[in-house]
Amino acid sequence: MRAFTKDKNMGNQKLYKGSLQTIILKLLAQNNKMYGYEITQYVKELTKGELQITEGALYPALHKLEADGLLDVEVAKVGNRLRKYYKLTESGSKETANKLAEMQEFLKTMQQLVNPRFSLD
Amino acid sequence: MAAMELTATQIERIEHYLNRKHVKHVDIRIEVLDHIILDIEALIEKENKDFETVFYTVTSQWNTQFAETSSSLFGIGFIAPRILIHKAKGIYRTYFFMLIASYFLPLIFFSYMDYSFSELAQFYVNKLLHIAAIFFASFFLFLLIKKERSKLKTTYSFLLKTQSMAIFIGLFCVFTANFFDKNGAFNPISIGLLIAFVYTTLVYFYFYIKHKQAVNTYKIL
Repeated sequence: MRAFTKDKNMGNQKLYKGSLQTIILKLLAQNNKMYGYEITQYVKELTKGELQITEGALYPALHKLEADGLLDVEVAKVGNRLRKYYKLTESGSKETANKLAEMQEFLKTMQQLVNPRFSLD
Repeated sequence: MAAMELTATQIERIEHYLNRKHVKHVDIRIEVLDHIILDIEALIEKENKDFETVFYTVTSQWNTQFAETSSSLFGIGFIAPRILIHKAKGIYRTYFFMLIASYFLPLIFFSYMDYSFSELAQFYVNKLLHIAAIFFASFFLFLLIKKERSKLKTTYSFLLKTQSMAIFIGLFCVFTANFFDKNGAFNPISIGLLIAFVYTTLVYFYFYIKHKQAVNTYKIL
């Protein structure tokens, strides 16, 4: 698989890589349904260009989530072509909550490791 | 100002590129086509460059995804663009391991069991297993023909293609004279093959249904 992003800041990108599925699930939980290009642009905009998802990382992740039954597909006609939208299934919504809880826990642990609060107590 | 949109000829150019890269499976093709069009339109607008220049910039980013590859899950005979192989593997992986289990578990179980059937029981059970083999082989053949008639390609039709050779295991089971060994116990190899073939037929049927569903989803164009 290609690098997660096209960005020069590869150190950060490696950190983001393991969170791609959670990012996608979270975005779909917020926006009901989204198509591939829209996801890449939305993430780029939200992170002010810090995180740029490549097609080589996005589609395998979307297809994996679809194969796992977490995403459903809806097709709409846009002009003369079709657009494929992804949306969460019922189990996808539950998994989003689980993944976000895991992520929160992870961030909390990392915070403790990287920036421990020293106390004289 | 209205957003820049590619002309029909420019879109045809992208479609031709996808054809050359063998991106023909509709579930993947429509999202890739849409993505490339949107990417090119945005870049032309943002950088004020001509279509040809932007076309090469954008498509060069996709070339790795379209590089032809194969997977040990399907065999080296089944070559397809990386993006398709990756998606097909994601779907098939679990079924593959269950297929292996459906052959080896009965093989091991019946190899180590100490038992024997009476001659009469052997006769009837053998008949029953032959009927099952004929039924599942006929059903598999029926699905194989139905699948061949379907013109639209999907990831599931690719998966069906990779499983088609299983018909020969079905025919082997149909023409197996006896599912018992000389001691009156099950022949573990024949029984293992029959169970694996029954399992493959059910998976084949499931993939066929999913293929039909995908065809119905994407044929609205």
